[in-house]
Amino acid sequence: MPQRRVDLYWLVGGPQGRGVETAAMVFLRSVAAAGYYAYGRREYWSNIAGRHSYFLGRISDVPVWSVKSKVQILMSIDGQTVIEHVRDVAPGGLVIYNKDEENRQFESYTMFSKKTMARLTKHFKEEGVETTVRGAVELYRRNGVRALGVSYNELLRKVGERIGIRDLITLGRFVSTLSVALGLAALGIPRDALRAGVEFSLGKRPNIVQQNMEVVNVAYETVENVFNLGASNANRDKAVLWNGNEAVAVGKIMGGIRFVSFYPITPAADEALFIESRPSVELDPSLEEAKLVDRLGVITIQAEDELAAVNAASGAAIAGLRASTTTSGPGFSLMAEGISFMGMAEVGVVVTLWMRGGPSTGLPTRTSQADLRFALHTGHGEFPRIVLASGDVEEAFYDAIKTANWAERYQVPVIHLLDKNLASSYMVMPLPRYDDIRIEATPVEVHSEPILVPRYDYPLGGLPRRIVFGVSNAYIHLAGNEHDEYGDVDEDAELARTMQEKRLKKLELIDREIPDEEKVRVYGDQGSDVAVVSWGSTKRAVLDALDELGGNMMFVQLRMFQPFPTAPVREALRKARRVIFVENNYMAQGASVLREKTGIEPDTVIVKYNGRPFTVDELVQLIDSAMRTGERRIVAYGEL
Amino acid sequence: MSSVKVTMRRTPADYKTGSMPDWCPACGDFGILQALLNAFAELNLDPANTVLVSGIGCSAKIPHYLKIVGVHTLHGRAIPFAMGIKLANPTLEVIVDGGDGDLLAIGAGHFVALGRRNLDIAVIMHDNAVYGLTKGQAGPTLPRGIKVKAIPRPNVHDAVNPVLLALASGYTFVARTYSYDIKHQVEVIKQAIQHRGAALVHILQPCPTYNTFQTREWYEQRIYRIEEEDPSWDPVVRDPGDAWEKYNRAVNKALEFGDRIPIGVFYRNETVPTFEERMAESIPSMLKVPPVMQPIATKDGKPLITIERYLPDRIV
Repeated sequence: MPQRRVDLYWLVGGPQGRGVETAAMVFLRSVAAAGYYAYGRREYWSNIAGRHSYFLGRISDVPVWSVKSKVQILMSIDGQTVIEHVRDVAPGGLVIYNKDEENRQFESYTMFSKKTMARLTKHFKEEGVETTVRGAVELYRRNGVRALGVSYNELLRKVGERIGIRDLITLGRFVSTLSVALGLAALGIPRDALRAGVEFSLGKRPNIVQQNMEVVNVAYETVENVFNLGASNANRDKAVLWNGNEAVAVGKIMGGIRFVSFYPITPAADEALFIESRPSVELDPSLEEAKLVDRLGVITIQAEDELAAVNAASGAAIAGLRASTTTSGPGFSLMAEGISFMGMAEVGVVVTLWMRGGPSTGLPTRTSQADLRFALHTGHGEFPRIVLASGDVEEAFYDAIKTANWAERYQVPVIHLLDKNLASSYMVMPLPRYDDIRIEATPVEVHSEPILVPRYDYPLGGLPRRIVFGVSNAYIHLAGNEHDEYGDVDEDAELARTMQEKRLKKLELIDREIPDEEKVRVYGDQGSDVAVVSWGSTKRAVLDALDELGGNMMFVQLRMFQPFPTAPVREALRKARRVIFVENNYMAQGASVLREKTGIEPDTVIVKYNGRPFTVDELVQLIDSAMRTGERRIVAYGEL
Repeated sequence: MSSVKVTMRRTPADYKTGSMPDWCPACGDFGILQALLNAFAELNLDPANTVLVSGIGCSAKIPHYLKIVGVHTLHGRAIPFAMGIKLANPTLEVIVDGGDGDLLAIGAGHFVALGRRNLDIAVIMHDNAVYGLTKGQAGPTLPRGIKVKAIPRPNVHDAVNPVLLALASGYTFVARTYSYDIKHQVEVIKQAIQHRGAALVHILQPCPTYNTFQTREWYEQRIYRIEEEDPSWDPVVRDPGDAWEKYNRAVNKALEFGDRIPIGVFYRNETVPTFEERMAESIPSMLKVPPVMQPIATKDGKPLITIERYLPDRIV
């Protein structure tokens, strides 16, 4: 592992639809080109244009997956960003802002949240500064933050002179590049690296690249090199720049999923759209498999609703194709009946659930872990299912492959639990280890002449036959009603009992076959006095927090919630004298499952339910507080 | 592939399972079942490559009585299931079988979406205007103001016109037939199955137990065959240029539902690309080798693609 020479937190913000995402992508790709690992979490409103949106991230020589609530550099597209993040820059840090907006009052930003504005107005008044961008700048300076004001209009005019554009409105399209170029210049990222950022984010058309590189030049001529990062000397291996939606999409394709249905919903749709935008890819011609079909294709369907999405995926799986549907809470609610059908008819589908803030429409663009209980219990009746929660984007990628294997083998709904925090967090991630990937195809029954096959005649403890339509030369019946071994409706009492036993017994088989390390993972010394237990996307913040806290602590990451790994979890926590449970919801749902399945009662639950993930420093402080005070319940308030 | 070419012609009896239907005596479903058996035999469909997907209700029990692949799904959702099956293997003959409540009340969104897609699926709609299995509530095709046996007051909903809705939604084969007329049904069902695109067969069907209004007598006084009344009737679009005129005539004919009820083929247009063809424009492999027959991994279980190959622009 290379030495961590650089470890820096950054933020870029502006009005939604005015290039915040473009700016962040220029930034991430540029620092990647300079050899760094990087991370950036996107925060945005459910809004097309105008609301305050930002990326919060980190750069380092080693892979990074988490953020803190204070950044070293704040880059802004507009003045509202400077106002909103007035408390988010660490002393010694730098804020770069547009001097042209210095006089603007809070009220002049028409899409400012009323509540945020009111709270900030109070804060500014208490501090005795005016409620303008200038007032914010004054507060930054009082906090020991360097505030660097430059006139964006002046810089854009300078760019305009070089590229032959006079009109300031037309030049306005360069503000996003300008905002991050100023920051990258201050960080001392080599100017050449920004070409990669521009090409990645804005495309390779020569005149676009040339115009944006003039923006870069002007920025580098304007701002001095404050942080002096230079290029990374860590000499890292090739890596991939993607977010959780994309990692899961690629995992599905590698895992053999060839059908993905969805109905547009945040934050799930981007996963399906990513596949839809690359529907067919040429196979390596040297592969044996390329002789049958030279291109790999994945069917993506935008369904008319989630009822269609879930059941179309079920249909594809019934026919024998690896199939998945992707959604978030509201859509998952509509899928309940279809998931119950999968349980009864024994159909294996990967249902990818990207959790967001609820209930109802809730916080559609914010994160949450409030659907754990729902994932465990969705659908009427009792039936086997797998519920797996990934802890970070890397796990999400591998898990997308594993869940595809499991759905096909066990013929049960497999709910892959993820959240918005993973969905729209981008990172430069080490390339996956292909040697660790295995696609386990379940053998298919093939008959020499058309024959009626009893798909459900398997013994207690077994699995249904795998029939592929058009391949098996078999005709089978399936039903959502209770059925006999042929899949034909029957309500005989003994049959009803034995069929129910066969289906639910599959849970024991799943539990036996899937290795413990997939279900629960322990980081740090097993046998530590203190165990922090958590699940899902809190993983990296918890790990980084424990790293900072030091001492005799371990992290127990729960991954599989159904079937629940009771014995391994008990074993992992056997020696822990204190158990602290961390999760992104109000009811401490994961802690309640732990109690239900193991009898272990956490000493403290640390919960957060404002739609924002935990930051590392917040967890450091709250875990420390739990240790000192022994409080039963601690609520985290961090707003970034 | 190991499908064996069966040279022997199958008879309707070859498609019968041992299960006995548990419908009421004189139920229109018997006629539809017989028509399906005859149509399958006449088309000599391969049972292992013919999939019948049903929803919930009396009509939905039909796959259990047929020796083909039968998928008995959820109320209203037969069409999405069928879509998944058809796209997973476009060489399959996929048929949806459902009632008026199944397809036009709880499942109406899917019914419309199938037309918009023009996926090559035939929909067999059993229309008896009541919910039989839950004991006689009003179905979406029961006229307003009518009180049938089991509803406490006259129906307060207007009826939807299935043929008109199918035409409005983009179905490229739209026909109506009658459950006691086996011969007519067989002809229409065969055409629907053979049609390339989304097809609706609207089958008028008395419910002798609950629909005390639209009885056998009621229907038989009203029904007439379109082509018998108008020998020049030609619903087939052979040239895209004729589509508008034929579509308009079909819509006008569809509006006729009252004292006289036309049966027969209203519209047939194979010049519209099917959904499979539309999908194959971006996924050409799916019509060359059915997706279910394509490899998902190398022989030793390794992925067929790498990130470097799939996402070269994301490698940094």
